[in-house]
Amino acid sequence: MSIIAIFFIIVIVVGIKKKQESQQSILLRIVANYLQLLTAALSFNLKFPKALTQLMYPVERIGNSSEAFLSFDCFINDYEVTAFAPSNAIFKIFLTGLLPIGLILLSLVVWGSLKLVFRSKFKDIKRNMIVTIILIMFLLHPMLTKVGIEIFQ
Amino acid sequence: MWSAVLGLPIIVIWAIGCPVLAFMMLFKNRHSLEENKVQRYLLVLYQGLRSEAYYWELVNTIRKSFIIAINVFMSTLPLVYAACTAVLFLVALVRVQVRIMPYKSKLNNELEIEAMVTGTATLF
Repeated sequence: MSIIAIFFIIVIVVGIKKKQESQQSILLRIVANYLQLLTAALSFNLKFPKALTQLMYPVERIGNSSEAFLSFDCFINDYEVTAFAPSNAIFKIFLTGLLPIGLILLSLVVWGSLKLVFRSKFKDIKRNMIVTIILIMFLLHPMLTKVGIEIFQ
Repeated sequence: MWSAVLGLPIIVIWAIGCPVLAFMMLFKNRHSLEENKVQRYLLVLYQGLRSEAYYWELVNTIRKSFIIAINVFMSTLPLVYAACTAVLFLVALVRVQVRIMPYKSKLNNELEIEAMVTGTATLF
């Protein structure tokens, strides 16, 4: 989980810091696209050599950020939340659907607090918020697509 | 029923809505991508890309989504069909990319093409 969080934070911080075109941001975007594509390729149930799957394990964790921030399985098992969903699997999908909203709210809180502490201009905070939302959606998109499509399987 | 209640909003809002919204914002501002006002908020979506290929991030998003969709929807068929379809799709897109060369820098173009070829080779 920590490796994914670090990658997310690096992408977001670099995206926010660089107000002009920067090679770092471009490279990070290419790397993120590559990792996400590789993860999608590895999720095919092919008989990949064990050495390859072991080597690619961290890549899969970053590229497919499902259960990245919150271990929904543990959460559901610990609290036995089944009140309004027929099964844990459905509830897990429901939580995953809400994950972007949760992360956006979290970033809102972080940027709001930073504005209060450092008395930054509203214009800067607005920019940071918009860039953060774009990058969160960019990073979570493959996972959300996968969860959304898989439910129809 | 649950697939409609939960799956459709996730697909419509997150999987389709967000990339389309991002593309629409870029399309609306396609003639003013070099202006400060647009760069301030949207630069992360098109930086490094040539102005004629401002939409390339949407192509990348479609590429990833399509691979995921092939994996899920073709799962009832023998695996080799899904893998072949994915390889064909990826190779076709790499060919398009080689033709368009969406990045301003030659190195970035080569890097992304090689990254995509590696992804394709993994499936192959």
